[in-house]
Amino acid sequence: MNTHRLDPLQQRLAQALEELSRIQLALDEERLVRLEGDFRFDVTLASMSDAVLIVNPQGKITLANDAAADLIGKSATDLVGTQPGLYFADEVPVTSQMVLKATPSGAQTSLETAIETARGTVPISLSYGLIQDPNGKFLGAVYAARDLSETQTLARDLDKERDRWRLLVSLNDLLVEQMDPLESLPKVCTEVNSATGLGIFIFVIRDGSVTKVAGSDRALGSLPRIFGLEGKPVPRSSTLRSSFETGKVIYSSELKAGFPLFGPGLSIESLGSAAVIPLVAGEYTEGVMTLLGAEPGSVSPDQVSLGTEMGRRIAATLVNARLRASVSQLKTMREASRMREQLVSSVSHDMKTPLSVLLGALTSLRSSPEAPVQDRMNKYVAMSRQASNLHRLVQQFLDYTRLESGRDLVVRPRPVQMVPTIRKVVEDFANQTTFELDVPEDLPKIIGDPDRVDQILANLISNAIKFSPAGSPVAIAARVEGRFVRISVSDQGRGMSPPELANLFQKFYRAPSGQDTSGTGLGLFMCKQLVEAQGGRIIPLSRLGEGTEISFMLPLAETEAR
Amino acid sequence: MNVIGPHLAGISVSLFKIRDMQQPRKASKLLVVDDQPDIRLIVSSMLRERGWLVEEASSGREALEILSADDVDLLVLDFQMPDLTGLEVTKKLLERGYGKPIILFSAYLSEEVEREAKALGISFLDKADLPLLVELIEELTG
Repeated sequence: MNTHRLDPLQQRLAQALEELSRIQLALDEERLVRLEGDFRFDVTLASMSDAVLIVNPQGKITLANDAAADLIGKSATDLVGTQPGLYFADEVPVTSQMVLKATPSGAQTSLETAIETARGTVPISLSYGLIQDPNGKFLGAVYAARDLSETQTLARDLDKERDRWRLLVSLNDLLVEQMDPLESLPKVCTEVNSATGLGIFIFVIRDGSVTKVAGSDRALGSLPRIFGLEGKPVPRSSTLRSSFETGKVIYSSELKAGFPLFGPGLSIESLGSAAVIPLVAGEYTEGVMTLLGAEPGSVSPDQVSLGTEMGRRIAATLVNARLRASVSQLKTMREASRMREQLVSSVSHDMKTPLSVLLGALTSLRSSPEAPVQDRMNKYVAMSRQASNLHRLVQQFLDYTRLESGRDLVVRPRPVQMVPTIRKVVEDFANQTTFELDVPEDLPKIIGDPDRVDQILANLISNAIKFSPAGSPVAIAARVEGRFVRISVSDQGRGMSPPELANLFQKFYRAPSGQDTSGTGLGLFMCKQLVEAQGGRIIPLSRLGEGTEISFMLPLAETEAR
Repeated sequence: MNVIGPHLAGISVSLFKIRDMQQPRKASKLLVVDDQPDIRLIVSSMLRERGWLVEEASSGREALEILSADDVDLLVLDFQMPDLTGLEVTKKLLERGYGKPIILFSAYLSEEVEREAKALGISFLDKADLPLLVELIEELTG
């Protein structure tokens, strides 16, 4: 249009219209921006997992997001217009003034608190703050809440795991404390009882019998009777037996009264819940464990699983201890077997000398019937000597075998004149050494077994010869001492030191200096046994470099006592 | 005569040899070593009855002394003796160049001892087999 033809009114109208459309445009833009902002706000709010509530200065909820609706259990529209105090715990400020007071610096505050919802009280982490316009005018307050129930559950689970772990570790420590794990079991029971509040019994079972009962409980009765199961066969119709034989856990969270947990005669009245857990390690079942609760439901599945874990460890410790004991027993048996073999070998060798002489002499006598009488007599004497020798060897071996199998020696002490016995032994050794005899012919009778005295003297003399220098005599003396007769055998050999003297009568003891490994090493050991079996005493005396005297005392026969 | 002499000598020697075979063996000299008097007694007795000359020793050292002064044709040697064992005595003798047969006569013959005896080239006999000793000696003295 032609502007100079418009009159001033029209001009003003045109200007006003332009202005209006500019304002309109600006308003539209603002509205658009606002709409966009709102839209974004809505979307954000909707997508937030935290619950958000906006409260106006009058203290009423003006906005709630989907998360808030879910948390509280009411629709967003139902929430609008209600007061936050309905849901928040008392500690949460719910009016602008309260919020102002709680947030002096204007910053947001957070705390852990709880919120009332349709499903009960829910733990939350709550942040809140004031909404102010640029001029500082209060527009309301905003609250953002995060549901902590899951976190709390996780924390509780973690604590439970940690407690469980601690219990298992302390269980381990207890089990390895003693050499014999059976001795740790009572402490284990006490520990589990304190940690779980449940009654616990551990039954170790071998060859169908309960070999050990350990237990701890303060709430249930019948304890002495349960401990009385120790040493008896596993009760027939009991869950103990079922669990042990099947290797399965038997669990009842709600028991009927009188349930035969421990067998027909042994029910526990106030038992509400129980689990019987077999103690299993690999292929070995070592026993069973019972967890007992007074109330139904007091034994939880968690505790049963913990119990199973404990059972495994207890079983493993018991198996280990058993196997270790077997191994050491085996070693002992093997060693004993070895010693026995050596002994048999030794005795066989020792017997060859007398046998040789007997065989040789017999062969000789048969092939030379015309040999001079003296020659033949010498042979008979030698044979007689060696036959005695052989007899002594065999007798000693048999005696030793008897002792080893736990039996007593057969000894027949009676009042006897011992001089002939002494003489006979001396004769037998006459070709091996010279003797100095101090044995009175009128030696009174003593109470003894002449065969055994023969053995004792033969051993003592044989030893004296072994340790005497060539040519030095062996002295034999017999004299009355009080109510006894003392018979002694002395040599002029190297003598012994106190430690050697102390070990003299030990089985298989050999003089340290001797390279002489012939003989069984049992001679002196048997001497002591034989003397003591006759009610006597054996007394060794020796000094290094001065020789040795070994004497034994036997009681005088009654009639001879003065 | 010088031609005939040796022949005559040869014939007479053979005649002696024939006569010898009909008698007990020529008197070899034996040494019996054992610390047990009864063993010495019986063994010596058996061997003397066969016509051998027998000397006795009661220890390894005694035996070594005797053998350093005298010669024997065969040695009957105990193994287990207080001073030296039979094997130790054997080793000492072999060092000295002893070349005559030795019989280790023992109650303690183990595999080890037998092995060592074989290694040293000597014979061995268990004491319980004493009746076989005479045969063994005859074998060894040819």
